[in-house]
Amino acid sequence: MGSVVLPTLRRKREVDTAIRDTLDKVLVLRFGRASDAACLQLDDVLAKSSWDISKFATVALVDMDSEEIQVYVDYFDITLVPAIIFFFNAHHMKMDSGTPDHTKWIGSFSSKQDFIDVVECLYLRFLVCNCLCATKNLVDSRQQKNSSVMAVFRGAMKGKLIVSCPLPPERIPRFQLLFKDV
Amino acid sequence: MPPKPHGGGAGSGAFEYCELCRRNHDQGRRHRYFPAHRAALAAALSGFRAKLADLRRALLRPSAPAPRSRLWCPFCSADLVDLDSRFACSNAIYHLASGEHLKGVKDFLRKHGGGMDQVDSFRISEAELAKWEKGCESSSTEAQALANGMIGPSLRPLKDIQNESTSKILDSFAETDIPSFRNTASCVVMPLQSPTNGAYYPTSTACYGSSTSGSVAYSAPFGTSGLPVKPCVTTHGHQGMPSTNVFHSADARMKGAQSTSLGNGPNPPASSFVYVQQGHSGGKFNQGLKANVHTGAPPPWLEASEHDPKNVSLASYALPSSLKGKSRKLNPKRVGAAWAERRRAEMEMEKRGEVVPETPDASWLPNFGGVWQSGSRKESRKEFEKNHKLKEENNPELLPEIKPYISKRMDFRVQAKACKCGKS
Repeated sequence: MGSVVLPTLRRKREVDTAIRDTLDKVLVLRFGRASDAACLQLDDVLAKSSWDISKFATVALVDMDSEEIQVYVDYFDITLVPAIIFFFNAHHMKMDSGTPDHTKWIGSFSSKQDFIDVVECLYLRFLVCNCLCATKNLVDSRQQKNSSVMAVFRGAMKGKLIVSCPLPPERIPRFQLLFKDV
Repeated sequence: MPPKPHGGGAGSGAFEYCELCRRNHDQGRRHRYFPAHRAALAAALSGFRAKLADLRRALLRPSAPAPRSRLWCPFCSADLVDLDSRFACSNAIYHLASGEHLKGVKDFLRKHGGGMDQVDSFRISEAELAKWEKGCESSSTEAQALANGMIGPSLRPLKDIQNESTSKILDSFAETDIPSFRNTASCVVMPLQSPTNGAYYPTSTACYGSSTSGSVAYSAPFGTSGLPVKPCVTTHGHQGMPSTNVFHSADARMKGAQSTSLGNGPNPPASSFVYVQQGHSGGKFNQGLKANVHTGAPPPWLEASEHDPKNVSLASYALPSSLKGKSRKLNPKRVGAAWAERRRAEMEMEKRGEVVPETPDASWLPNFGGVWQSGSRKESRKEFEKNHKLKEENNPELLPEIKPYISKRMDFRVQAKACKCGKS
């Protein structure tokens, strides 16, 4: 379902262009394969929320079985699927979600709102107060649910390349990294 | 206000005039760090940058209409006027590429405290100049080829209205006024004796009528509103032939409704409309010319004067908000702000077709922060690229094919034998 609504990138050049030409928006790259059940669930979440976040984020799916994409799979060290990598102005964004890997989000989101929270958290890193209105509605709707959003927003003006995840730990998928050749 | 005491600097005690702030001061070198001076400097520099951006557009397309006919160079205090040039702003372009200008820019920045690293942004490089000259040559050869195939006087540039006073106007036939209710004012023009190749000849005035024939089209709304048209005969001494120009001027003394054609031109009156059309279709040749009232350019008094620093600052403030609108909203310290600005400018230029879209290198990779907190992102990318290369080198599939050794000496022996046999 999600792969129908969202663009699927199968060539390296397409991924390059997406990273280079997405300006002042968060680029969400989902690495995975459409045959995977977890990927399907995540794609569904992404497809449903892509319109809501379209003002400040672009979502694209990357087919990691494509031959040309293997460079990126190696480069981003993607071993578990689905994996989501965030970019902003061609800069990789890290997220500290309490898991061993800060470079990507591994696994699915339990709900659409969780994903929006995470992306918005990333996006708010880059904005000044003037842009508050753009995301005000989202923030307002979530204030009752998640009071930490405003705390993230307050700390967001520093333009840091790593953000902390606004989701509670129980809603973050757990995994363990085994380091090889280190 | 008494002058502030200050340490014995180089210019202490001596008053000097700062042309940016337009005031005398005795602050010496310290003056250039004053906020007012810095603001004036920034305004002047940004104003000049905007003008230079216009000029660079003209550089890319030499045959395009001139973005501005004169340019004030604040570094050399020179007014660069382009009235007679065929190609847009050629005077200014040659000046900005000259060594004199470079020296002027350096002196200016040294004196007023701008960064010396921006010298190149205020001048035109040799490479750009060479490219522009090449473009000029090619467009002039094109124009020549077209001009040879054309009959008629539409190739001469529209004469500048300011220079029109130089031509002698004789109102000897002024009493034969015509009303333009029918709007059939005709213009009889001598055909060119020799092709002008689209060039500007100050002494050649034979096709003067063609430029005024263009004015008929513009004056049509006035003509239809009932203002009579008065024909004026202009005699040009150089050619010695009278040619008729039709000017629209109100004259209430008009009695009859008639169209008058004066002069000895062989063209029928209806040809004036043909010339009007030629004037428009021949716009390609007139692109490098100065805009005047006939081409619908704004009057000079509405244009900002380059000499006035206030106007410079206004011009810089009046930049289209669409350019800066988004970046103003966003945090300038956001991640990748420099990249976004650069890429957006590139994309805009690509859209306009000024720059060929640059396809990223096949080996391009974005910076990616690894799992380690230490080390820069570029380092992790470099490391990956190195490992990737090593992997490729170690890949058995990509190793060169190993072939058994075949001695070439054997071949030589065989050849030598063959030669001997042939000789014997």
